[in-house]
Amino acid sequence: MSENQFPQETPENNPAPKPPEFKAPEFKAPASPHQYGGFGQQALPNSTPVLVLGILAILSCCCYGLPGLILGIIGLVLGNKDRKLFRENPGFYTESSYKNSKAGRTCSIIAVILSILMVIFMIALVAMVGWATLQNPEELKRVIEEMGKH
Amino acid sequence: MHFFLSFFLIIDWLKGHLLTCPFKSHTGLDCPGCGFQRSLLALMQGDVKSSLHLFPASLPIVILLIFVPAHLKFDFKQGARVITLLYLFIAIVIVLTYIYKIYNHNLY
Repeated sequence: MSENQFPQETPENNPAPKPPEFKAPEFKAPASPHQYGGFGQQALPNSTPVLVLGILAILSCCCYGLPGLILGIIGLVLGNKDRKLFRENPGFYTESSYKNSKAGRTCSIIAVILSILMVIFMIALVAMVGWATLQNPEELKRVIEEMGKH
Repeated sequence: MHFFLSFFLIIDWLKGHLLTCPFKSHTGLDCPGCGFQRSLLALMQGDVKSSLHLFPASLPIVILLIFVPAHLKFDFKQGARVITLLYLFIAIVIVLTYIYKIYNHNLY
């Protein structure tokens, strides 16, 4: 058995097959969740109520700040729910409803802060003049005028 | 003509039927929202100056109350941001007005 019967594969008679050209797959930016103009996207379930609650909250900042506090906290809770929903599945909901929900959430936070300030003011007033004086407008007026003199 | 007449009648009726602030009726002191209804009435009669004097935040509040339904209907591009900024402005004006009232003993 000579070696010729099984010709060795030399570079001359059988050049090594070129390695297939490596083609990098074209890079595609991941589709933006907002790329598709609203088709199949829904509005967040609470975007409008959150906005309305936030705005109603500031209108009811009187009455000892309590209605504003309640409305603001409800708005904040609903807004947080919406935010969580959107974070979990950004492509599923419309961006405009997310913006509305965010605006409503901010408004609710402002209303809650205002209401808390009002409650603190009430507590401070009670602490300064006493509950009994607060019930009696004329006495209260006298006490406050006295405080203003000092 | 009829419309204007009924408008004035409504204003007259509203003047006699303003909601009483529980804080004011209880303590005799103004709350941060006191003056809003009077100011709104002045605004309805076209008296912007006295409206601003009674409750400076009422004009921006009216603008906000008109803008929000419009935004919800037509979905303006920057609508949400405008609402947020306007709201912040209103809150600041209310707080400053109340502090001013306290400092000047205008609470009655």
